[in-house]
Amino acid sequence: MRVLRTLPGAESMRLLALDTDRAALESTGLPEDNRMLAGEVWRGGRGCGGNELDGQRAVAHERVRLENMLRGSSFLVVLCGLGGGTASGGAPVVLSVAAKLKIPNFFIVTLPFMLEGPRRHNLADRVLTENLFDVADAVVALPDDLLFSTLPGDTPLAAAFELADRECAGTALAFSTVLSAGNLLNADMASFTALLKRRKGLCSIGVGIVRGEDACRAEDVPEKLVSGMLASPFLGGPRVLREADAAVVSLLGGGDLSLGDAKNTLELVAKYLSPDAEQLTAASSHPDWQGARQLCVLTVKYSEPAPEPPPRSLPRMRQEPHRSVSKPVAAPDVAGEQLEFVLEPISKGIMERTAPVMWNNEDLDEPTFKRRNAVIDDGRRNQGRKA
Amino acid sequence: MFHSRNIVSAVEMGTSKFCVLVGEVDENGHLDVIGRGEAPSAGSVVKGEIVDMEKAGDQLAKALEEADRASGRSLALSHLMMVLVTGCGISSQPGVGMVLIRNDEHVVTDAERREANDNARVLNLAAERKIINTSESFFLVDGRRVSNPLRHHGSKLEAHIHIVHGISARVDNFRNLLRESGFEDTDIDVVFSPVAADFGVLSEREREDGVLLIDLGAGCTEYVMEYDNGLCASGVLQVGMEHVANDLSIGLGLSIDQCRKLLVSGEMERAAERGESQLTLRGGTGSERSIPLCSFDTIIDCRLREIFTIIRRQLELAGSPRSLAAGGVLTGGGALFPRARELFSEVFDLSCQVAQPRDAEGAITDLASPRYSAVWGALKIAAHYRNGGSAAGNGGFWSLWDNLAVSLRRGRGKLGKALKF
Repeated sequence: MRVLRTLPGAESMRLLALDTDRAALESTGLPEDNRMLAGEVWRGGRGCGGNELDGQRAVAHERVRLENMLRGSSFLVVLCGLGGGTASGGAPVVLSVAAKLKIPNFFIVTLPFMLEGPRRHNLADRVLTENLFDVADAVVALPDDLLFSTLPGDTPLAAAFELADRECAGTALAFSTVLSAGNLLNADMASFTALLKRRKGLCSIGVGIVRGEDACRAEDVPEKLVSGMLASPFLGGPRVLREADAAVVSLLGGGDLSLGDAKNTLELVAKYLSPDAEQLTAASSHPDWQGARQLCVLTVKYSEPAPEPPPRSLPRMRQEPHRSVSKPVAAPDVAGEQLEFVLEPISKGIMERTAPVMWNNEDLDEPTFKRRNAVIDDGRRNQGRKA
Repeated sequence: MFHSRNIVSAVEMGTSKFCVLVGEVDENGHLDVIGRGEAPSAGSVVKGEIVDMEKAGDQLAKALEEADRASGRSLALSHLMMVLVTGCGISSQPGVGMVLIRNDEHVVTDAERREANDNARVLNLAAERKIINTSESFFLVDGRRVSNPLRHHGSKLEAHIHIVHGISARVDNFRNLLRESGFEDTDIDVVFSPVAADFGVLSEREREDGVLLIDLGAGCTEYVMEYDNGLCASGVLQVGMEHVANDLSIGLGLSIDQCRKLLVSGEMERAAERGESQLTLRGGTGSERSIPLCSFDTIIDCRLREIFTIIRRQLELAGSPRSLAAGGVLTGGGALFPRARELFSEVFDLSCQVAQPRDAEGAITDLASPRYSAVWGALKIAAHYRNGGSAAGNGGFWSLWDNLAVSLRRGRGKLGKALKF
């Protein structure tokens, strides 16, 4: 929370810290209105000692207050660390409140370290599978153990957690901004949900941030963003990116976010992904992000085999063998209720059989608007309505 | 009597049209256009290069026949034919040549100038490449920059020239096609299309002040930059208005012919003027559709902006001067498209004027369209070549340099007195 508040764009979000432990809650430094001590009367603000049932009861006590606070929100992002009592018991309660109010919700949960003992781990696993995964609109589960695989052994513990917090905050912000402030590309809530809910899997996230007006204008912004992202402790290194079954790539920036920057960055990321990975791409600009850029990559590695056949609403994917960078092309479907992602080689029309003209690794015969991912309304959508 | 006539001609084999101009030079060196022939290229030329020799031959024959008829059967009397080339992997680079001035007075004479130029032309080109044109940019006499070195005192002369070279086999296609069309004995020279356009549309004043000329054609976009009376950059990007039409066709699901027509008919501009936000067209499937005008704009903007941005980048890489007092000049068929002018100004941050053939006179005077800039320039070069007449007959690429450079100089009125041919 502390970290989240320091990021640009956080003003547009309402923060609410919920805990059963008064001391922990006070350490967040949030104003009184944004804190909620669950089950104060009953637990006395002393935490629930890892007991899931106690956590559930404590949070359930606050149902009415939660409902009042959440009512009218357009979107809910829940960050919590599973394995303890409050989160394991409380998260499903928060979820049920959101579901009752029909607020789209997005859970970013961390799974405890293996060394914390099998009990906590099993608890987290169970809550995740039974209570969250099938009910929440989108769940991102991040194993804390990823921190070990990335950070050097001599990293101070406090710094490691600080980094982990930063990653979670960045991810929360990235997705909420993309989903609330509008997306310049066509990844919407439905496509996130489809990707994340298809099968159970483990996620990892990487966040790269560049700040400062001057830094954002520099030529090497894409490289900086990507290297920052690759160094993220919750990503687990480039290997994880390459092995991911699916990835959501989102780029945030201010009004000064240029087409070229966005393209370069997203293409650079795509190079690290396996050509078979499904990819959702999002870019969003928000005035609060003026002079700052954030690249956030969320990877999913499914732990269960693929069901056959895949549901209809999932992104379809066709890959040209020699193309390493996949280019998402938005194809608004006729009914207009769901925007689909169709990845396919770009048609070159009459230039198909001519010698290609290359510039900076781009085939100039491909329509520019397609390479720039511009969405074109060709009038076909209105055709049916008129007739 | 016929032998006294001084006939020259210029041939363009472009992506959209084949065009032949016939001109007559009178004893005062005045050039009159006496005939013109035109034929559509019908897909035989793509991106500025011939893809179907047979079909191109047929279309060329049509244009030649028309020009011959229009000029009163005098095309065959041409002493010199200029063929425009583009594409062909053409690129350009500066060349520097140095000579020591050894004569007694230490004065630069024409011999030194030529020697310096010859030295500058020595390039390590790949075997398949050939120099197409060279043109003087500027000279240094003992390190001091002068635009005309003749009669300067000094001990060392350095010539900085601009060299255009291309893949010879591809360049020769143009020349051979013309040879096969019945001009075996005529001198046929090639000229890089934007160099010709430069000659056809720019004034001396503009060349001196610095100007960027872009020829936005159907298949290719070419550019030249003139600064202080010297060519300092030129090049070609094989992307043109055909790509715009192709993008529209793919993006909006229209037929390619429909899109080509849209670009020249001005239908979009008229709809915008009427305040409409949509254009109703019959799509590929036959049913009518209302397509928002902004869709057209987006597609066209993306493409044209990209073309200009790439050229801008290439100019930057070539280290070209940034201060161009005369601004930008747009020509070629694409210049008729209003949006192109706006984007040109926007991308290059220069004023943009649309240029069409300058001082085109004669029986055929309807050359007043940017479409004819390059072919008119080629005819003018051919006429100057004839006027100079120094090396007529030896043909070949290198002869063009001599004649082209001399004629360019003469055209600028600087060496008229110094060089007596």
